[in-house]
Amino acid sequence: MTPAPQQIDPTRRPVTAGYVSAVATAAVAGLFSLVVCALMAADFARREGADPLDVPAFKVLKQQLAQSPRDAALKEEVRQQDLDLREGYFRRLEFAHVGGHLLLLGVAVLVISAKTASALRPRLPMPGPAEPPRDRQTPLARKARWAVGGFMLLVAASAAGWIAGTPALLAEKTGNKRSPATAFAAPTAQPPADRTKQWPGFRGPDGSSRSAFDNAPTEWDATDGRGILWKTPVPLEGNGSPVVWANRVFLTGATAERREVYAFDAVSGKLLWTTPLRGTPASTAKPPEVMDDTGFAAPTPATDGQRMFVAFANGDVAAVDFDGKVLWERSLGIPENSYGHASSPAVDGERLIIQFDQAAASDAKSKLLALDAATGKTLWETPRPVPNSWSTPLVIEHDGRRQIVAAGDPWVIAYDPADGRELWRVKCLTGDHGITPVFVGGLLQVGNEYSQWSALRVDGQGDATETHVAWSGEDGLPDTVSPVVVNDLLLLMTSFGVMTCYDATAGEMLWEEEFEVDVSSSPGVAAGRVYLFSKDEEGKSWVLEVSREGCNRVAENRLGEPCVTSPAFGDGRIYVRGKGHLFCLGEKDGK
Amino acid sequence: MTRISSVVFIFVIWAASAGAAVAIERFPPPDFTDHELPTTQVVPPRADAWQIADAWFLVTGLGLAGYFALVRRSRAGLLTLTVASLVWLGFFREGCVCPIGAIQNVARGLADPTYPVPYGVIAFFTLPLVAAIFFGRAFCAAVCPLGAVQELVVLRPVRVPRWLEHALGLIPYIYLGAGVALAATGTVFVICRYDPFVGFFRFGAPVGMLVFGGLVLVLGMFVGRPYCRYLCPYGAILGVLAKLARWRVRITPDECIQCRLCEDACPYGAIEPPTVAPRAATRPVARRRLVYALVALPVLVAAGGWLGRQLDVPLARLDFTVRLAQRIRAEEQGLIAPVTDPDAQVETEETRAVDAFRSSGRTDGDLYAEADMQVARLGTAGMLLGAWTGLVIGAKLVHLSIRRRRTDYTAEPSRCVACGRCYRYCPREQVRLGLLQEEGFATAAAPGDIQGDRRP
Amino acid sequence: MPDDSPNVNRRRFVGDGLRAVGAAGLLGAAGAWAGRRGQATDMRWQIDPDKCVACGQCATHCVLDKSAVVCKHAFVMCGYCDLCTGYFEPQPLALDSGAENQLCPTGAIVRRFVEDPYFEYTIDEQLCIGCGKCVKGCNAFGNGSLYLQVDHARCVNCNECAIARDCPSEAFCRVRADEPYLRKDRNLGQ
Repeated sequence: MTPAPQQIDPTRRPVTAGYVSAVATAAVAGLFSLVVCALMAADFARREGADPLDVPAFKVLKQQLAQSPRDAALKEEVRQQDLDLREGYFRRLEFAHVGGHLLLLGVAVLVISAKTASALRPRLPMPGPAEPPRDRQTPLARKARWAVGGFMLLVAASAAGWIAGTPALLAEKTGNKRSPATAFAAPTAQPPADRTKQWPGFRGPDGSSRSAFDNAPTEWDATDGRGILWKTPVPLEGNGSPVVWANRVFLTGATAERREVYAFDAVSGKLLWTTPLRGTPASTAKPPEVMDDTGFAAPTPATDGQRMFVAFANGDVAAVDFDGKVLWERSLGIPENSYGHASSPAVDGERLIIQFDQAAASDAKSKLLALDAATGKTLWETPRPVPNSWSTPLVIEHDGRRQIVAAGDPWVIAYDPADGRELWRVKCLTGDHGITPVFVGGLLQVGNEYSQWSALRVDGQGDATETHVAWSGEDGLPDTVSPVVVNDLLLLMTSFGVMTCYDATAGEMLWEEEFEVDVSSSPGVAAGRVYLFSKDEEGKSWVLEVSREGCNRVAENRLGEPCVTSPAFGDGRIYVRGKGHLFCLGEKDGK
Repeated sequence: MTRISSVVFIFVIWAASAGAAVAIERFPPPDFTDHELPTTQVVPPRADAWQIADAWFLVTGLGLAGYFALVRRSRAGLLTLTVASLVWLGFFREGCVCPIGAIQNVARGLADPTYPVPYGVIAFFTLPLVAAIFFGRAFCAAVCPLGAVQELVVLRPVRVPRWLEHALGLIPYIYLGAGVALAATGTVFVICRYDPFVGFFRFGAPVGMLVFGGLVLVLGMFVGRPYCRYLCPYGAILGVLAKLARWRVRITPDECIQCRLCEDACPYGAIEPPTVAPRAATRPVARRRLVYALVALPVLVAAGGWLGRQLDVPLARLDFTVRLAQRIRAEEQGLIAPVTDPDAQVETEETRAVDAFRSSGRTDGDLYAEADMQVARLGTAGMLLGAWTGLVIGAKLVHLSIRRRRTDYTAEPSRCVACGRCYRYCPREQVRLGLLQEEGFATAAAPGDIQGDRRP
Repeated sequence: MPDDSPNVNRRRFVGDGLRAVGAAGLLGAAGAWAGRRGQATDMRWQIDPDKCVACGQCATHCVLDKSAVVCKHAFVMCGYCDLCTGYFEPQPLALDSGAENQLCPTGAIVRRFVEDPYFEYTIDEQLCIGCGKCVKGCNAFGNGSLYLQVDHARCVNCNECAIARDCPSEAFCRVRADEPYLRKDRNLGQ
């Protein structure tokens, strides 16, 4: 078949009266629609504020009236304006409504008349002259492929531009656009290098209770609130100390029935979350017997920067993430402990170390456990030849050898963290042991009230009692307060407030200082100063500068309530738990 | 348009137990002796019966559209139905829920079991698809109110180059993917947000929406159905199904005489000319090209997936929960002053959100966990969206590497919306209608006798 | 061109079969899904008054010119205070209905004396624009008997509610159309 119409007359139908009137109608309707549209736009532009009275001039007027309430003329003006504004508002709403319908009408007429006009003079199909049949598909497909390719590049480029132009979700990650899946939930996870600047467990990053910062405040006073940035009530009691990681402070609290973990905002002191731990049927069947001085939440939590590890008097151990979600929870059995279980967990990499001493030595129930931090499963456990104790295990490293040191009556024993194998032991303790040792300057300082003070070298093998005691002392022996070492001075503190100073290396007793208060809190050290908190009802607390010659009381402060826990140090701040509150000490204008 | 005034039914709240337990009772409600408490009046929404009416309208409309387009070949009938749809589904029912938006409800409902999906929505989503399997895009022809608006404003359509049509025609598929991804993750119903005409149907919308609608409308006078062709995600699905249609639009009622009169009849660029076999020498090249395209397809899918995976952060910034978490987080770290005294600072949506969050009693941890989950979800959604985009582009390239054979002028079913314009251009149709003599048309088809688009 | 060769017929038959299967599959899937998870009643937008913080965005974010959100009054909860913090400005010059003392920007609250010392406050919903100022005042210092609700006489039930999208307290929720209101006094027994 050949293409048929060869000569189509390109003229269109003649212009008729009907066509002219349709075009005219369309023009009028178009003009009308434009005018309505413009009016509505103008009306819209005149609108301001969220409500009729949200007009600055009117607000000023009302303020004037508030200042001179008796001005009758002003009042009248306010009322008049109020009425005008409200009427105007509803008039505009009405106008918009009517305008919308007018516009619809205008556009409808425009469309109908324009269509009528074009139907009266239709453009007729005008195929061009017949061409010899040729393949049009191939060049079209080629062009189209290029177009699709260009489109693809455009899409990819705009996606890439969008990705590159979008800042990271978390403001602190400005350098890194990509954020991991757990962008928000692990907000405070810091690189491991920062661990020394945190306060990740009992007595700080290395168990020596020394701050990495030198800007700790020195003065505070509960009577006028000076130097106290915030104080927040802690729901349940506990004698565990605060643990700080980045901008969060963690505590535990417990009663005979309930056990809870708390996270506080370090900046504001707000209690961010409370996570109750349910325990297991075995661990909650009956509460453990504890002394009031120990309580049900004596162990201080420990953290690896991702998880909080908590322990309670009933032998429950749990890991909670930084948002309060319980990761795992297990019961080690209710400890047979005459005062109540108090040893804090310690973290060594992916291991959680628990010193679980109980009953009498002859019962052979005491043990040291290493749990998998991620799951809570036991990695290894080692029996310990000691009765119940209240001391926290210490993770130390000496000459490239990592050791876990655990003290109990009568042995100080060092273990290999990898498998719990015993490295060395020294027999130097007697009686109930609650002191956590401190390892500074190559010497492990340990002792208690019923035995003697000993400074041990930690490179021994087997029984090192005869070979590795550097020195020993008999004066000012403490029973609950763990020691600190500052400028090579060892400071011991008795429960009744006597501080005794030794030369940490030589073992020479230098001086004694009496504070006339009861003390259970192990002191902390920042910038060479010693921070001492007491059980005094007013919360007397001191900042001390010590030297070989004696002790200088830099400041005597009042916390406002007794304190038996150890302070935790942050940048320019001290977090300390009193009887009922968690305190943040620091200067308001400081960091 | 008037809204059906509903029966006002009244919840009567008697003051009998005025002293009963009230949550916040700073001032005990008085115990009146001779004063009856007023009633709080509430107006019920339109009855569910309307949903059934809508469904019936849809079914009838689809049937009629198919009948007018394929059996009667009547543009007048289609136009009448178009106006009826515009009035009923557009102005009277005010445009929600339409099948286009229902894509998102369905996606959300499939992703989140707690999201309620009424029968009406399911029906509106499914029925046009089923119709498409049998008679093509009947829904687009005369039932969709958005299509109806554009159908009516076509004034002087220009022809979009066919190669460009191929590229622009990909946008609806990507838009579909984006709409589904964002709806399934509960981020935003983006298709509804950029609905062009719903603001007109309701006589009110945010300015941006009205301006967008106005632009589509003005563009629609010169480019036929721009929303349907270059944006509508539902049209994309219908187009794919329409390729399988049992009954399709045939330009000529019986046989094509290759007169080429219909060549420019379609304002939507759906008419494809007959093909001519290429030179034999090009065949191996074409075959190789097809192989390349087939190989490129999985590569494009993978690359798209990779690129899409990176979209988690940009997408997350659209999400309310993530934005709130960000703000709370920034406050927590002291980067922004906390919202403590709302009167002291200018209220913004963000500060209000923070205020509301603080008073809701939810913990930061909960919020962060939710935000993280959302970011992760959006990462997955972004990856799937990217892969989908790669698939769409790759499939298009494959499609463009395959030769098709056509002997007649045909309406490409995936693009044809069955508006019925082309029928009247065909001399055979004129003969069928008795407007032209059988023997005369081949040579003497006077231009004046060929009727164009004459219905308003 | 009609072609009635057996090949074409067979292809058509197979095609029809596949189409029927496809259609049945689509309808079946939709039906099964509807049966398991769908519901007969339509859904409507509503504000949960227990979550609403009366931020004021309802007045400005609705697609309608005059927002579909209005203030409702749970009279059983109202203390009928003389100094109503939902009605009066924070520091009213006098406890009367003078325009300068009223909190409502459209004057939509009507104050009426009942008996000493009680006043009744009713809402003229025609004037209410849902700004929530009175609700905020009542929640802060009063019994919280004023609350915001989506008025279904006005609401056009957008598929994605523009207010819900930006509601800071996520108080907007979908409710069944047969129980379209969440009265604040719904938990008071009666």
